[in-house]
Amino acid sequence: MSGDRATAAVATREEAAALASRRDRPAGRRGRIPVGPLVVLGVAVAVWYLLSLALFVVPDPLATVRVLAGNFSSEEFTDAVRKTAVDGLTAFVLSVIAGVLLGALIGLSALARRTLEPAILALNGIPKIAIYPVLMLVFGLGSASQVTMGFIFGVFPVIINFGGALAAVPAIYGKVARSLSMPWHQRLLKLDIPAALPSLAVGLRLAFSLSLVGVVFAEIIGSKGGLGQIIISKYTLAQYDLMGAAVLLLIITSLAGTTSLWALERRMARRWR
Amino acid sequence: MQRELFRALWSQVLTFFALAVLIVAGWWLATESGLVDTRTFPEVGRIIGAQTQLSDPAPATFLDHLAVTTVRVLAGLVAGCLLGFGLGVLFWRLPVVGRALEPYLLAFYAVPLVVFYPFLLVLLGINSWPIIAISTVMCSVPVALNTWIGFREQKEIHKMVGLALQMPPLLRFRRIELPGALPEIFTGARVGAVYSLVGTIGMEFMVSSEGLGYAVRYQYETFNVPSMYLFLAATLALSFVVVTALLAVSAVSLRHHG
Amino acid sequence: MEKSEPREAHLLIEGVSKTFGLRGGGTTHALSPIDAAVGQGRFVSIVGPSGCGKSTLLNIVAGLVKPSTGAVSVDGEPVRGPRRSIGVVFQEDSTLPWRTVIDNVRLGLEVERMRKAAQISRAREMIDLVGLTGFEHAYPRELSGGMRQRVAIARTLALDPSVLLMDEPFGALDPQTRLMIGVELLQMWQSTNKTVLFVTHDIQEALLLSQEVWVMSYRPATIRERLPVPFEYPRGPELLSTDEYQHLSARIWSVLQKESQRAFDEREHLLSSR
Repeated sequence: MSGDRATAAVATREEAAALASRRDRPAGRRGRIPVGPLVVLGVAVAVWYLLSLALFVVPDPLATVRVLAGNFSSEEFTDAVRKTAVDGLTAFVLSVIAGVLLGALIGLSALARRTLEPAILALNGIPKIAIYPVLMLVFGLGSASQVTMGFIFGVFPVIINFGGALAAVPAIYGKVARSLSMPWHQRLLKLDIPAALPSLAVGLRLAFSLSLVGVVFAEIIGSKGGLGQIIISKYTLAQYDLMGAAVLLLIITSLAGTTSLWALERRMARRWR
Repeated sequence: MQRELFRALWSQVLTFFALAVLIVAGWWLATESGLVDTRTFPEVGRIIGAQTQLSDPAPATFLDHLAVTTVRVLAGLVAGCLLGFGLGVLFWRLPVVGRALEPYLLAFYAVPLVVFYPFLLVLLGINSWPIIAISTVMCSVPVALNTWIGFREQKEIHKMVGLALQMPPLLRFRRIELPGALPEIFTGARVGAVYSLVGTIGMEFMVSSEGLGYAVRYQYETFNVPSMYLFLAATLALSFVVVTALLAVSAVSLRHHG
Repeated sequence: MEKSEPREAHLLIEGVSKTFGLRGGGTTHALSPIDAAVGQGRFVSIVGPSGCGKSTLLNIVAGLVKPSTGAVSVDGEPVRGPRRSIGVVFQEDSTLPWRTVIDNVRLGLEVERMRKAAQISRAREMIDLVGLTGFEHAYPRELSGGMRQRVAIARTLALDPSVLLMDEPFGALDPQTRLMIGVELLQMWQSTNKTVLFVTHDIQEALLLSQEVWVMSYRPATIRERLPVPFEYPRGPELLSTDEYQHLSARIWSVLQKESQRAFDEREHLLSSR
């Protein structure tokens, strides 16, 4: 939740550091049936159904699921799903690798923090989608453009959360390490990184969803395939049921991914208290 | 809070200018030395001198596009902040609703809301409204989440003061709870501003026939690469102004907050 | 000083007890029924081991917490919720950081539809009383902890409560500041004639300030001893070396020591049984 601040236009160190400690969720709600969210889901489906009666462009829920199931194994759909999944995951993995490395640099080096961090925060404050045309110019309409867009979306929360948390490791840990004469790599592995893990989990969740958003957004604007492309081409062809099926699939996938990463994040936050 | 925000403000302004200078200088070096393809990365001089008049379909000027996008972004920002604030207060007052909606609000990051744009086009017509709607909704989510946090995490002692002084609920809200939540609300608004920009420009890429996003796209498709960069620079400059202005507003508004 | 003197009782505590439900079932008996009466204009200190329920008792008197049984009344009127005749000063810094000193002091006055000019002149009077003249337009962050606590006192006094409840108000201050601000509190008390209930865990502070000390036991808390403090005001440092002072201090200390031992044992037991 407070993870939302990770994408703050200007995330001060305090804001970034606060991420791990701000969740005051009552413990012990694990494993229970999430009644509230299910009710919301029910209401959403009902509203969707009503909308489908009122608007020709909205296919009704049942029909959408049927179309989705019917087309799921069609070549067009499987290709699009595979393309979006591969691109999204590639962007996510690249975001995490680069984000962890840059985050570590910022978190551990005061010099890097003073020079790089303001630039990263400033760049994070611009709407990154605006540069997609440049990517299309450079990489063309292929996957490279969309993966790069997804990467640019996803890398910032990892850097900001992980770097911020490393920089905010309590000074007392450093004293402990020195009093035990720990070598630097042990200190890193046993104190700094574990202390920063809950924040890294926040970064991972945001990176996952934002990478996917970046890829799909890019696919809609200009690409040769993928779910985003399906949405726009089916819209142009007025095949609204197929368009709805693609939107639904996208929503389900990203909800599932975010929710599981959110669970991981909460588990860590609980354990690290 | 106060000094931090002012420091962040100065740091942001300086960083943006430093980045701009670095990028222009690097660009100039790279293009003049022939390191990069000038069809993709045209020379600085050609970008500055590029034409800003789009030949088709409407004879809108650079300033027209700038004005359209600015209005859309600000409309989305204001409406998004109001909507988000209202939702945040609702979640605070009725935590059951908040907890039920929370997973979906978080997953908002995972669902590019723009995928709903075809529905909005049919619902609202092909004009500014679908763009403002997307921009509003995208902005409202971080505002709602942060407003909720702000009210929920009031200092216990401040609540006690309100009770001990027997302040009626509305006065307590205005004098204690709202000021106490304000820093968080502003944080949400600053995140929301970026989303409002993303929503507006992204939608303009796809559906509009005016605005900076449309202009960038148009110049890209008509191979007017230098003009494309000029409009892109204008888009980034507008984003910088909006984001920085909001930071300045929060720094000034929160200057006495502890 | 017991219930047998109802005519003098300004503040009356009758059979007040408190039981808290614990998470995961079970209950904690925080206060066993307490009866007490305080005369108009008296200064009473409450001392007790930490966690004994001193604050709970104070919060019940303030109307911030409902008692499980019993009732509190002021001038014969039952206390059912916070009321303006009862002022509370908390231990923590309770000033609002976004308001100036004068606006903090004005906070309670805004509830009454008092004219702004009247609010300001009343607030100035109070700021004067707590010795903060000249700091009206300062923000809390520009003040020391002691000064912020004076702001909180001024804010409470501005409503002119007849009972002043203070929950370890100087607990967060350093010992020197504590001593000085205590002397000033006495001057304010003497010039305003309020009834004061003062929670502290500092025996010396209790004996230097109050006319009567209640020593509380550990849970379920009762008032184990009520000791009149017979010393004349002003009470200077020479008092500390008198036999009478020493005797009183030792007596309070021995009760406290026993109760604190009980508290300690119980907590250790809880820990080891986990």
